[in-house]
Amino acid sequence: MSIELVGVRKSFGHVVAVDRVDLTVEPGTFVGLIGHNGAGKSTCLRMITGLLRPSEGNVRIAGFDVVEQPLEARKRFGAVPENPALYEYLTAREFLAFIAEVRGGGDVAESLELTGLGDDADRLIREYSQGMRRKTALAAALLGQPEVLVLDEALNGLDPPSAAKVKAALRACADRGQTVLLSTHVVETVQAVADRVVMLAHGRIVADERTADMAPGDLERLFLERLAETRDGGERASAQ
Amino acid sequence: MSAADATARAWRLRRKNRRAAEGASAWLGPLLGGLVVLGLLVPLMNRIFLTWVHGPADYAPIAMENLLLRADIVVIGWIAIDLYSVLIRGGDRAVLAIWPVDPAGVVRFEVLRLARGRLFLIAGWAVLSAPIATQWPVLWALGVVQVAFTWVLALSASTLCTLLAVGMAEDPRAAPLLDALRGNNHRAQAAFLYAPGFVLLAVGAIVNGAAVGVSWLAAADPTGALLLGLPLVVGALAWLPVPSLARRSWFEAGTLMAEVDARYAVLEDREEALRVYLDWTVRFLPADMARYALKDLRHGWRARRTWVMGAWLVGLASLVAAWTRDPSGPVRAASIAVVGCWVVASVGVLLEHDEPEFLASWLPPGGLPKWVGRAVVLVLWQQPTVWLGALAVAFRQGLGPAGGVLGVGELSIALASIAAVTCGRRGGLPLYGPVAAASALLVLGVLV
Repeated sequence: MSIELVGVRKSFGHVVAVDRVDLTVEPGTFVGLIGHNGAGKSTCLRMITGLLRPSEGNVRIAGFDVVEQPLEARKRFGAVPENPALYEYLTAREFLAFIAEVRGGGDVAESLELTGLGDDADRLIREYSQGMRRKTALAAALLGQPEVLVLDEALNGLDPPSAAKVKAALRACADRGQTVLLSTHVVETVQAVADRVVMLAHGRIVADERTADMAPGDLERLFLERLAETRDGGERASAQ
Repeated sequence: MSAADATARAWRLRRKNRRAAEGASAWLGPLLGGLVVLGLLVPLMNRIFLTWVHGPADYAPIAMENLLLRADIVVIGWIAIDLYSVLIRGGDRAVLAIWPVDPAGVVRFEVLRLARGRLFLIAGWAVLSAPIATQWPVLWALGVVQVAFTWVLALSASTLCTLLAVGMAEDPRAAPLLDALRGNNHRAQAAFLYAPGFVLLAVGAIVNGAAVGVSWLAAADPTGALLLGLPLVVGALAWLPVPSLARRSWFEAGTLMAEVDARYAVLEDREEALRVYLDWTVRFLPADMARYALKDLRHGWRARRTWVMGAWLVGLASLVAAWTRDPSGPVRAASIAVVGCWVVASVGVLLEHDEPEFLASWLPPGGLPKWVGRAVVLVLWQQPTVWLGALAVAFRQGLGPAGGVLGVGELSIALASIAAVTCGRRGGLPLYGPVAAASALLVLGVLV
């Protein structure tokens, strides 16, 4: 399995952000992770990338436990966190060259081209807009064609042509055999490019479906239904 | 190609780009700031710590020994706190945490970069203690060597302790001890909070021995060389387990800090997250001033907490210096308070330049209430610089001299606050620095 979450739970004090999540993703699959604000998407992705430790359960990337074998796991994924941190006083090209060196390889020019950063690649990152920063982080994640791509709201802030280009690039990655896990609020994006959609609500997986089996509009309907069910269930539990 | 090489190369590139983008201000500001601090410390050092230089020959080695121990404590404390900041909280961690970097290489790079950046501690000591060279050149040279060896020991011992603290933070056997120490902090944070103090405790005997070695060598006893070299040997030994510890702890430290930062208390009690040091005082201010004062209290506390709490450190130094029946006690307390309050008040200048734009745009244009509110906040933050020393003087010498310390201190606080607010609006630190230096030197001159 490329990504494996077993009984993963994350709590902060009395607040449970992710509750007993089990998820396995096979190589070459494009998974869209959707959910309402505060559903636990970013917490899940932070645990998958080893930035946060599960309170219970295990996370494995390409067979490596992200907590116990952090370096081996990191060699196998590229990631765009919710708020990507970049070196402000490097240009995008210099930053990507640095990451390529750290990863032990990667085609900087190709990554810049895929994300549409080419013309701005030699400006300092501190001068970039949020969208350009996200493109830089995405270009860095794509370097070296890692086995797994973990992308938290990676399309946020991108202009429509860039977003289309990136979606096509990510789809191509999955077709090449790389695993892509993309969290987003935009259900249309998931339906357009993902093979599988995983829906989170209040820290739990409430739906896990193949997008190929869905007609246009089904996903949004399913999302709203499951969200309402979860909310009703939660209110009933609170009342009892 | 190691991670250390790649990270070092990226850092050199960042430094070059920053200099090209910002010009001389990238390095001139820190340099001027350092010179101002040095200028303030030289008369203080002469007055308080170097009075023995022209005294009897047999007293000089003992006085030097005591002085070196104090300098060593400053060097170790400074580096220990900095190493925690760099290794655990540093900006590089935020960038590198998701990449497959070799933690041993990253730690080596961070420590070497910090070592380079803290060379000024040795140079500063050489300058501050230079008056010793006029009478006792060998003693001075040995002192500089001793501080340099302590600097090496501080770097490796602090690295070791900081990395060990990562393991300790999650060790169930350490939990009872950490729970007893942590107060309102997250348990993991307690291990890091006390790490610098532990470094001091762990290497205190070694640097004390090295300071004794200096006085033995000055008395032509060659065994002193063994003691003097001890910090270097222990420093080298302390580095041996660092690479393997780094590989075990560096990534783990990131997840620990994420837990600390999540601060479940914030999720449970949102008001708690907004409470900051001294915020209760705003209820006594007029409403139009209180909102700006509260903004400065909050933003200053979050952005410059170390400087704000530095007022208590200055106060503590003043208390220690004034805890004497010697007639010079009140002057010592007042001198430290004067220098300290000008340093702490500089937060007021920085506040103007580093506060986020959204804060300025949310509040209506402030006018006079805004500036007076900031001055009031600065006055409040500086109080510990004066009161602890004045209390010591009151206990040891009576209320009269203590009143004098309070008077001089509060006058300096008022002047420093006004200057900081004024320079914050126009001129910034390049103006405040010289004004602070001149004012503090003037008051010190009058006191001495």
